[in-house]
Amino acid sequence: MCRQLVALCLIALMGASGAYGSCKATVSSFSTQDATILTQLAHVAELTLQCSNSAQPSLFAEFPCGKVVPVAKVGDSKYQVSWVEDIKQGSSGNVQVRLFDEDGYANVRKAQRDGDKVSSVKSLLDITVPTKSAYKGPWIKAELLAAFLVGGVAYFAFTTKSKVQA
Amino acid sequence: MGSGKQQKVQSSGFTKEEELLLQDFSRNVSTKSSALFYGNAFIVSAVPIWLFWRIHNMDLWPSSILFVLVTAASTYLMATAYKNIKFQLKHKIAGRREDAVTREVNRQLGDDKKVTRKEKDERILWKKNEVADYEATTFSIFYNNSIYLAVIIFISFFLLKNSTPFVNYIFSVGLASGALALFSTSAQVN
Repeated sequence: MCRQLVALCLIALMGASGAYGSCKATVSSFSTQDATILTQLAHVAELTLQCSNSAQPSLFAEFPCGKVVPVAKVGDSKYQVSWVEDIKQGSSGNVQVRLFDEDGYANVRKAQRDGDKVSSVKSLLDITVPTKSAYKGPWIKAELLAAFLVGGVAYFAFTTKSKVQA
Repeated sequence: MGSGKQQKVQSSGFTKEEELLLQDFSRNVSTKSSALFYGNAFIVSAVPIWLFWRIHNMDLWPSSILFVLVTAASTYLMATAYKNIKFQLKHKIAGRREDAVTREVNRQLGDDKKVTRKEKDERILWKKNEVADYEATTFSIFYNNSIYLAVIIFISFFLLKNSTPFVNYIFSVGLASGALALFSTSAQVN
């Protein structure tokens, strides 16, 4: 009985410390560059995961907004996660993404069910994804600029005519 | 002068000098001025074709009949506006340039004893009219063109931006040239 208890404690300890040991990730990212004819901006992060025991776990990503999505495995130790955001809310900068393995994801779901804070669940790895802002068109529309320019010329012509006729 | 008065033209009842004076104050323009006005009016009326073809995405060949008709009407209206504005401005400009022209002609002729006082006055009058005619013509073209383009851009890009290009073209070009022709006929109240 005592042995079984010790074994259970060891398993629990392994689970708590992470079955995959320490992991490192190298991240590369891509963001929509031209948003002139789009309604949403897309960001894609590709990460290469290196765990100390060469494990390749299934991953889940949690974004700062609290949404948790599965991370696609696109190759050997390579993962990809993508998300979209409205152009008006789109911003550049670093996005902190927390990664969970299956056990971590189960804990996240449990925390969500219980109404606890998801941030209190320990993640497998935290990554920083750099995002870029997209080109949303010129600051001033060409027709507005043309209207102002030709309006100025027309105003000059009109005032000059009034002066001549005065 | 006395002989000139006797040379009454039977058909109109005016002498040659009176006819010239009337011509100077009439709305009629010379063939050269008319060609200049119609040439300019055609160019400025044809410019919106490019705008509606490339920017508003109208088909060039299927809309060619519309383009030709509207451009022709706009050319006529713009030429009318040029003529009327030129007529309004010519004598005002002549009055403003009188002193400068007189000084210039006096300086050119200097102490030339061969030129009589009457001849000098005629030369000043002729020069003044020439300067006023040139200035009024060029300013009339500039004034009408700038307002025409401003009105077209305003109507086509802002007022009728949600209309079909077909309706947009007809109304923006028609209204711009029509309004200019209409307002050019207004009398200046001083």
